Amino acid sequence: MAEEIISTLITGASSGIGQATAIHLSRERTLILHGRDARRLEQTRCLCSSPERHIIWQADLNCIASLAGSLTSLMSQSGLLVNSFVHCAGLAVVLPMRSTDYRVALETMTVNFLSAVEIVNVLLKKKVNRRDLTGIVFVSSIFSRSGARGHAAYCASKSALDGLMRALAVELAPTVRVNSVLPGAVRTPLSEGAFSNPAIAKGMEEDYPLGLGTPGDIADLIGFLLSDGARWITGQEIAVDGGRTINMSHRREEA
Amino acid sequence: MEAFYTNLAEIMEVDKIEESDVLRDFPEWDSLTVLSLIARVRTQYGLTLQASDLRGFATARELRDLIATKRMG
Repeated sequence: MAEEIISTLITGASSGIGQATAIHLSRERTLILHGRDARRLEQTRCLCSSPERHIIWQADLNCIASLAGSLTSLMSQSGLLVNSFVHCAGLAVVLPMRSTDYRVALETMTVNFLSAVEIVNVLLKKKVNRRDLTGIVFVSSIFSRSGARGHAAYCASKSALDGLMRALAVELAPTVRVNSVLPGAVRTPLSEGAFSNPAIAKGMEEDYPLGLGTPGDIADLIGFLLSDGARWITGQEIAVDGGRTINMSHRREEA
Repeated sequence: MEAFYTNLAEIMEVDKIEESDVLRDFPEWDSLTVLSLIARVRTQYGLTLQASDLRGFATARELRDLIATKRMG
């Protein structure tokens, strides 16, 4: 068996918040970079500190039945142990409820929520990962606690993720701390569709007292939550949203 | 493309669509309906339309022709 390597697993590392988190954490950690697209993962790896030490895990989270096997064999073949898990992967399908049937909802639930269930399940197996897991951060969304037109499946999947987070925080204490980060709208490939509409982009800027954020703003909190500085924080949903969710102001009239 | 008008009728929640029907006149026509339509075109015809692509179209026939042209291209 190869030498043991203690690592941090990041899903959805090929772009957006996942990529920013990878770059941020790569200074001090060996990473398993997960994504669907090997070429884009390679780009993320090249942006990281010490690119050569990070490992790529290519898998489609929607292929849920093969996920556990894929992760288990990667870990055993490369002698990897995972002490921290950051779930950044997410799918945002915007459709009205009358076009949202169980198949649409299931894909979103699978990628955003069920994949986290499968991965945590693997990481808690003593034969695969000893008792090495100590930290979990889920990237949820401010939509977990609110509603938005066309976002039924997305809101439900993020609420499910936060429910899982709280249950795990209690069940896995004191060895594993589990928290959620709830980003507001940051510009990523996932949100580009909305931002490319000038009217929506302008409205969003008005809704955010601190203006729009960047993926790096989210990565900073994820880094903190995984550090010893957060040793007494578990089971929390922490919004990083430039004040979006506490803003009760009316939008100004269109000029 | 025969199923196009049937698909469109389902999304607009009407019984039947005529070629000359003006899309924005349907009671169900709003930004979310546009998204439903884009999603349906993607799964049915493998084409990714942008919301801006749809703004220029008046009738069901024009939309059908756009999709037909894009599929050929």
